[in-house]
Amino acid sequence: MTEAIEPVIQSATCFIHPSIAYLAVALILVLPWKWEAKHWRWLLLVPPIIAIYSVVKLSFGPDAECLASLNYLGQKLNFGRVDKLSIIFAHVFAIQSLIGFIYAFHVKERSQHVAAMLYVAGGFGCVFAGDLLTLFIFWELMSVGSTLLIWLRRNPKATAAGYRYFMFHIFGGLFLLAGLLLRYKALGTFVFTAIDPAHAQYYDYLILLGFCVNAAVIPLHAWLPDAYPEASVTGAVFMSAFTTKTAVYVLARGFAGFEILAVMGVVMALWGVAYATIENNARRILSYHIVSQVGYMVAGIGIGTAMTVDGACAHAYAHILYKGLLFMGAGCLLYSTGTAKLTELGGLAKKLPWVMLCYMVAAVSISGLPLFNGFVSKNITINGAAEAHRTWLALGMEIAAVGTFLSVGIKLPYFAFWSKKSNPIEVKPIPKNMYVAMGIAAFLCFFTGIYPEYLYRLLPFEIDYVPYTPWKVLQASLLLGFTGLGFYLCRKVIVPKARLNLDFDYLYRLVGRAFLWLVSKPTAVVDSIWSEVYKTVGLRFMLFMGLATSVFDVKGIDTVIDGAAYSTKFVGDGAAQGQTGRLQDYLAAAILIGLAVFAAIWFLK
Amino acid sequence: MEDKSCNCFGEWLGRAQERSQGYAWGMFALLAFLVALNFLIYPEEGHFVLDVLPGFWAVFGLGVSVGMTLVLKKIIFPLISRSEDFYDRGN
Repeated sequence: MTEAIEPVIQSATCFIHPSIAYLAVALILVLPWKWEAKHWRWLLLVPPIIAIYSVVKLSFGPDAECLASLNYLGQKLNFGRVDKLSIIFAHVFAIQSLIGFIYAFHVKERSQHVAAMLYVAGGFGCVFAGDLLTLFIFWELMSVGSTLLIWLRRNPKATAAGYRYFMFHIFGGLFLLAGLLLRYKALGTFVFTAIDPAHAQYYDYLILLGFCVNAAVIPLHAWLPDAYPEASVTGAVFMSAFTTKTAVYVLARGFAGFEILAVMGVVMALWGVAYATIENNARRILSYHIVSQVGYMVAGIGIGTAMTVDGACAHAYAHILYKGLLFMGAGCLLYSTGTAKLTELGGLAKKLPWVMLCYMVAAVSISGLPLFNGFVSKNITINGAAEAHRTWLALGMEIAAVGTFLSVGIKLPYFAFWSKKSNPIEVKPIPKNMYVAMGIAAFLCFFTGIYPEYLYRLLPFEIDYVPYTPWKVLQASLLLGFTGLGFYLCRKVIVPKARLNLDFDYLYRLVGRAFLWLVSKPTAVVDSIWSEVYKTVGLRFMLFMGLATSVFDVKGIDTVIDGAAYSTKFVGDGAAQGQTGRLQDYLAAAILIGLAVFAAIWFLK
Repeated sequence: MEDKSCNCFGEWLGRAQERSQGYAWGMFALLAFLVALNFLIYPEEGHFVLDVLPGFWAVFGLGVSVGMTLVLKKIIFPLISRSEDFYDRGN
């Protein structure tokens, strides 16, 4: 367990929260102005540049804490917690968002950019959030933005995948919400700091569960390879960077040293490469590799020493760069040929040589070849695990490293760019901005590989790991070289097949269907029983009641009313018969009444 | 870029593909050289006991990649793979 990360930054100066810039441009783009794309597209580069400026200024601290807060719902929301842990993530988020928007520069559909802006704003908001309530707000903003990035691919498969994605993230968000509310009830605070694994309560585990959904921890991971391959070409580049890495950030912030994460991280690393080895769709292979690579980070956080948490952060930094580049390369294949299936690709090296070159830079980076950033960052984590005497975990990570090079480093490019002499598939020209974005990413993968001090300066803890020793370079070269030989020997076996591989999403669907069944079937049964009860008992009761009412009406109401009427009629009739119109009758009657009155008075006296 | 005017790199890659056997032999020679180098350069103490032996990581890389491929493609894949429209058919 690491000691708390001290803020590097003490006195308050101005801090430009990057989310504001992204949200502002999203708002401008969403207004129904009739702008031409060639004008508004330059706006896309403004928020990333502001973000880079803001974060670089912070990283040169030590005179910049800042801190934007706001009173909302009776709570003080802290939008600007700035320390070394948040800066390293914000740093790479800012750079990757610039690369992502350059890659998407040709897209004329404004809604795609709006979705990406919302999504990135959410990512920055989470990284700088000082309390759980603020975190939750931006967490949900990310879910909305990323769901839109899937839907905006605008085909039925993407719509369905986006819906499943959204359901799953709402599910994860509810765990987070329940955890933070219960925690507030127990502790009276939304503060978000490191939680001691020895004293973690059930509400802390609920929060952990919510984070694990976004970190794609097995078995909560299957939303990722389900949804990312269906996102738009440019949307997937953003998605590969932000959701899982934001989750890595919050895990590093709150849950370092949790043993369950150490074990599940290695399971993720192995699970991801296993599926990537048998998968056919290039973007799904890369998605499974996110699970695998995030596994290294989760394991590093779970082991929880200063070195492994540093390794997790360094790996997140490197991973965002090379994974974005891998998705850009696979996106170029999809954009250019209309498919990302390896069974339909192949022999494209001649037609898309620069895409192949950029892809290979990313492929050797993820595999940990010396001179590239993965070599530095992955080995910090593995060596940290070994030095913490977690030998089995370190061994699992080495096995996953072999699988990584096998599937993403060799299999994918071999079957996409080589394997066939030529491919009759039509190749659409790729916009120049996509090449520019890939070039920048490739340069950064190489630069952080040969100049690791750049990365070290950003790490939350002091580190004295030396990546470039003769033995470490030789060890990595042997491991990767002989993995290459393994592929060469098995190249006829590993040929991808156009099949779908069942994963935990099969179980999710069963659960979903069971829920639907539970909602619809018992309700239908209750409904039919109720109809029967109504028909047999209710209807008769109603008929009886009707009859009783009718009897009451006749015998009761009618008797009273009719009786009064009959009496009136009788009296009226009598009066009418009495009034004969003859004077002598009236005179006789008057005398009779007069006599009766006198008789009565005399008698009563 | 893949413009017709400047696809020199692509054409070079095309020619390289035709000479792939030569590159393969080059790679084998490099691997042999790396193993030879391992007898000269080795760690003082290993993380996994056996990894001080020369050639350990070569055997590890080869063994794991071949083993992984065979187990996954021959055993796991037939068990978990379905037709591509499996979920579309209401499963």
